[in-house]
Amino acid sequence: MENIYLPKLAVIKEIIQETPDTKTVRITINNNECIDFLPGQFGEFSFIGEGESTFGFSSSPLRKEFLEFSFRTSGRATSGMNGLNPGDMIGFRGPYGNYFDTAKMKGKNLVFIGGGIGMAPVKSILEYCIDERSNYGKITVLYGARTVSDLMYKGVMEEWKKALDTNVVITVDPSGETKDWTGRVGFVPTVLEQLPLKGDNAVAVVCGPLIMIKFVLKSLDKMGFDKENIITTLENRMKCGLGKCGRCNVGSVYVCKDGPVFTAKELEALPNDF
Amino acid sequence: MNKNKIDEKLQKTAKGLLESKAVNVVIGWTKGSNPFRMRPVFITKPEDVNKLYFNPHCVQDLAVFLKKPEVKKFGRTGIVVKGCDEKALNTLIQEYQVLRDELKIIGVECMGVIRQNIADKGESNLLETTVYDKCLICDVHTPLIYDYLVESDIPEIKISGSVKPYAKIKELDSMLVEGRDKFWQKEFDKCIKCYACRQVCPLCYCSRCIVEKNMPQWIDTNIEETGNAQWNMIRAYHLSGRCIGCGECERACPVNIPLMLINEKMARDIYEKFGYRSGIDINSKPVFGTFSESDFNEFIK
Amino acid sequence: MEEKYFEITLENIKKFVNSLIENNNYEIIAPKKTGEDTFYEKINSFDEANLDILLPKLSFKENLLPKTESLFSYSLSGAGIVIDNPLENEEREAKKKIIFGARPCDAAAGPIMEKVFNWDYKDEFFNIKFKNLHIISIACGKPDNYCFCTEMQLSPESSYGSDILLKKSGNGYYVTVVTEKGMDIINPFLDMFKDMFKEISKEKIPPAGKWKASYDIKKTHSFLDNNFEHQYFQEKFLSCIGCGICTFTCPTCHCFDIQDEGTLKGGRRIRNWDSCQFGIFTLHTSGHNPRVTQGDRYRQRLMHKFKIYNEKFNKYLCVGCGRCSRNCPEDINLKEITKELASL
Repeated sequence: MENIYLPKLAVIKEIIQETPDTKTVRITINNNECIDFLPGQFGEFSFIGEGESTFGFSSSPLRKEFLEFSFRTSGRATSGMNGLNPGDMIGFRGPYGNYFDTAKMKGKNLVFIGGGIGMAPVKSILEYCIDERSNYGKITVLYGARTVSDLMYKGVMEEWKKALDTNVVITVDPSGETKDWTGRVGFVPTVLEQLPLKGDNAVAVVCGPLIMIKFVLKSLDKMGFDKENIITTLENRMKCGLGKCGRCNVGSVYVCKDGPVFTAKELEALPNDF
Repeated sequence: MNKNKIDEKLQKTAKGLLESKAVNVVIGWTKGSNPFRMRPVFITKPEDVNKLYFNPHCVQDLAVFLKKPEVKKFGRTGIVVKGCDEKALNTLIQEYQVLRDELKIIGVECMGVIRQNIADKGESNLLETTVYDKCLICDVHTPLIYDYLVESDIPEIKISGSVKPYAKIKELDSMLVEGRDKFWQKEFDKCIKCYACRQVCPLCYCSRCIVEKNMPQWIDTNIEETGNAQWNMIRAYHLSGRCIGCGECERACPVNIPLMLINEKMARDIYEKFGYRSGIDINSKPVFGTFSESDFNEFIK
Repeated sequence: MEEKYFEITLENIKKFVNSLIENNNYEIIAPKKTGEDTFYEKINSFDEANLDILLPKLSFKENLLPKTESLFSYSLSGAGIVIDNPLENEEREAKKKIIFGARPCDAAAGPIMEKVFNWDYKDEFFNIKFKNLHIISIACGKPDNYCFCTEMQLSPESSYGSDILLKKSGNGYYVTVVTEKGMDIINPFLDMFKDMFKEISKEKIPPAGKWKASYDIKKTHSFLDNNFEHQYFQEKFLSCIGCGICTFTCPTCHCFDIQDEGTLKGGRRIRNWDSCQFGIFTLHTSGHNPRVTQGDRYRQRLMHKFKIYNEKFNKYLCVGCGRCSRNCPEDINLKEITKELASL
């Protein structure tokens, strides 16, 4: 009899301190069970004893040596997780939710836009697309954070830049730059509008703080992106991830089941409940 | 003043306040689901004041709404209060939660309110046997502080002494610790953690309650023996020296935990040990918010 | 199963219930007076049941979804974690229960909740309890003015969710056995006591009363479809203090929280009742809260009951028992609200 709340145990292989308050954790499930997931999906990760948190996967599902997620230390469960070391165990349930529609992205130019820790799910789909580079057109990555020290994934950015026909733009919010900062300075939507991008034959993936998403959607609209070709994720508070506990819904839509991935068009149809 | 005159004066007062823009809203009672239930109402237009009524079914302590962000947005507020409710205002003023100047207090003289579960069966007579225990020991039939007073000529309830208010306290006091422990464990066992006691309490105004703080997790989240006992006890502590005895927690409790036995016992202890009663004097210092060299405790000196 | 019909005298129903208790195959829960009010509680004899009241103060939801329920336990030692799944045990040790003297509204709540716990992932914690819960309900003679089961497409005599439905007769009850589970309960008695259950034809049971809905709940639904931003919600729920009484006394509200509880050596992951009326229910760690006002929160409750659930399961997440209204400290009345919304 299956207990849908029972986590699988996983071992931490590697922990990357991304920024002062964020970490990326790479795990493998005990007895090396492979978890099949798709970019955009999420899991319930738990520090057993302090509780579960919901995170999207940040690695490409094609890289099967580990499962990766990133988190910011902010609540009870993440504070517990923050104290863990490689070799320690955590709990995992998933994968849950829908995923980025890669069929729709095939053959198109792709724009990946991430803000802060919202870059995590973007990283998953970005690396997935890089892994199958020939399936897609030109790739543009725009990643922004508040300050230079808040930029995550510094270690893997070089790899993105090396990918074929891929332009990687990194920006920090005004006054978030350091003296030796060579990237851009400016809010993500502002920098986005300065990039030579066209909406036709293109798909944009946007994840980040709600306020950033709202402005980026406006910019993309201005740049001629079709609302059906803008894909984003919602991150409502969740407990079960299984469509039962009743807290993640936006109107009639359950983020855990019908989401977390939505097109801008779908988002537009949702009531102001997120 | 007969019943209609009470309502008339109440409505006239509210109308004046709204028309002169002295307040933006008047919180009072209006007719509820049936003749034996009254409910809170928020009047913002002078033409709506005829919805305001007062009678012995006006059980709610409306002071609770002053902590609500949505209500705070109204700014200057007029509020209709019974004597007991008004004591809550005093403690809120004392604790800097409400500014006296922002408030217009419409006091109503009250001889008692009828216990809701009895009223639900159709009772509307003010009798020793039909009112709450708090009404039988009430010494504030006329509110202590008010800007306007709606007088009543309803006679005081005849008290024969057949009903002993909060009699259980004496009984519990005479028990051994084990007996009291058993009594309360059985009561707390019923708790469903709906937090109605907290939400209905005019003095439970923390924007984040201790049960919602989880770093560390102070109070067990379970709705069982440990979590329930911890919750009910911590709330009792947080209200000792502050509870003004409106009894709303006990009235609201859907599983009938006799919460007023705790609150009343606490209030009596505080009075006995510190000579302090909550909600009486807006200029006094809260008993646990002050320090006295004459404190009987040795450790404090 | 095809329904079966019987008659039973008052004396025999007493004997029936007392035998059920004595045989100890089932735990018998019934409306029982405790203090000033009546609750669904375990009874040790028929006489403890208080069948004269309209409704117990709380529903019997706790028997399907406990206030707190352990999802698993864990022990911690060094870096090692051992997790213990309680489900197998639970299935083996589950006690069969009978709710005797439930009202049809409460009975209807079971299958309504069951959909949530099985529409996709199967929640076996719920299923084990649901399978073992048997409902013997008694048709309701006189709903009060908080009741609106008829408006909720049920009726005071509805058998939806009941295994056996009793209806008062001259000197006892008419018995409609609705399900196999119901038959399982009375089968042993048919053999043992020849005259206890007297089989009758359906026609012998007086037809159900002509209960008429006083408004159309579909109109409430269509209002909710089109008026998410309506000012009604913000104004009406100014008087809502944000406690969980309406949700916790509701037979169909099922939202829960998941928490870990224990020591450094071990503990358990539990689920607790939770309420959409609590401010922190949807509060993000970032501090952002999609539902800021109590109006937003009560709107969610209305939406969930009369729109969202319906879109998935074609029923409403409300049985019209009126408990939320009777128990509300501020006299917020759901029948009145759904009626008002139907006419807006």
